Amino acid sequence: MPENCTYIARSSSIAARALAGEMMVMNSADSTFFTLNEVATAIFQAADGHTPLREIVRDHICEQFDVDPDQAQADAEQFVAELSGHGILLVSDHPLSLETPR
Amino acid sequence: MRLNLVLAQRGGFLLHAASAICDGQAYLFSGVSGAGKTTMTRLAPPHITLLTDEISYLRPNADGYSAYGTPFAGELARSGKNCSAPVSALFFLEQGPENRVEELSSAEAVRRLMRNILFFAEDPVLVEKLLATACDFVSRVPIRRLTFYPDTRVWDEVQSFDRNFAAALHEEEVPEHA
Repeated sequence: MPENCTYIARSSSIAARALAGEMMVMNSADSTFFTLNEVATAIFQAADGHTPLREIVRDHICEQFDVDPDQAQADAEQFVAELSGHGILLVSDHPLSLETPR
Repeated sequence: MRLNLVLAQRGGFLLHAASAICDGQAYLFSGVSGAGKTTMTRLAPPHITLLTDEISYLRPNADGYSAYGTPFAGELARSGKNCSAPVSALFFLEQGPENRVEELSSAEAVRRLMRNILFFAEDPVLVEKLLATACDFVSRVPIRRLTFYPDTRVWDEVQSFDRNFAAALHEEEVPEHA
């Protein structure tokens, strides 16, 4: 297992929908609502629990959006921290199994 | 309030909005308390049919959505007529010095809609269904921001706004735990 890896997964307590090119996410626990831009949507959709964040950034962000890898990683970590704080994403240093809906 | 749970399962919902039928079409006016929902119903032409000045009941039909009369009354203190009509448009209300109808982005429309839908459950499956319904509603019903000055001319704006969509809207589901 790679060292110092961050794994992210979508929480089972959220609802998500894409409409007109934007991703809308809602936390069913507290009804907070988010609209994700393209980069955030790419990270969100790739959050399968077993792909390290740095691989998500490398394969889905840097290639697709032509951005500096270090900046992209920093931005992604900030974004993940924010969504994690709102219960949208789960974050761990080991692979996560995606939660099944309750 | 179990009614909203039953409606959510069937693709319908309760919306904090006034609604009225004019020339066979239902017009919805949504906003927080004090935004002007009851005012819009008071300013309406005399031949309109009031469905509610407080909480609207909406359900999908073959071509879009229909609004139904409800017993929920606001300041008007009277129940709506027990009838329905296809929804022509939903307006989010703001008061201002002049009447103006403006487009909203799909995301902003869904955000405002979700804020005004009456829903009291934390069941993720139902919340998913409700969000899907909101997105479906936004893709099928014209939604605008209506800034209005409280006189009867605002209804001319309501009935004559440009209902053309800026672009085709496509709804996609997030892959289930891809």
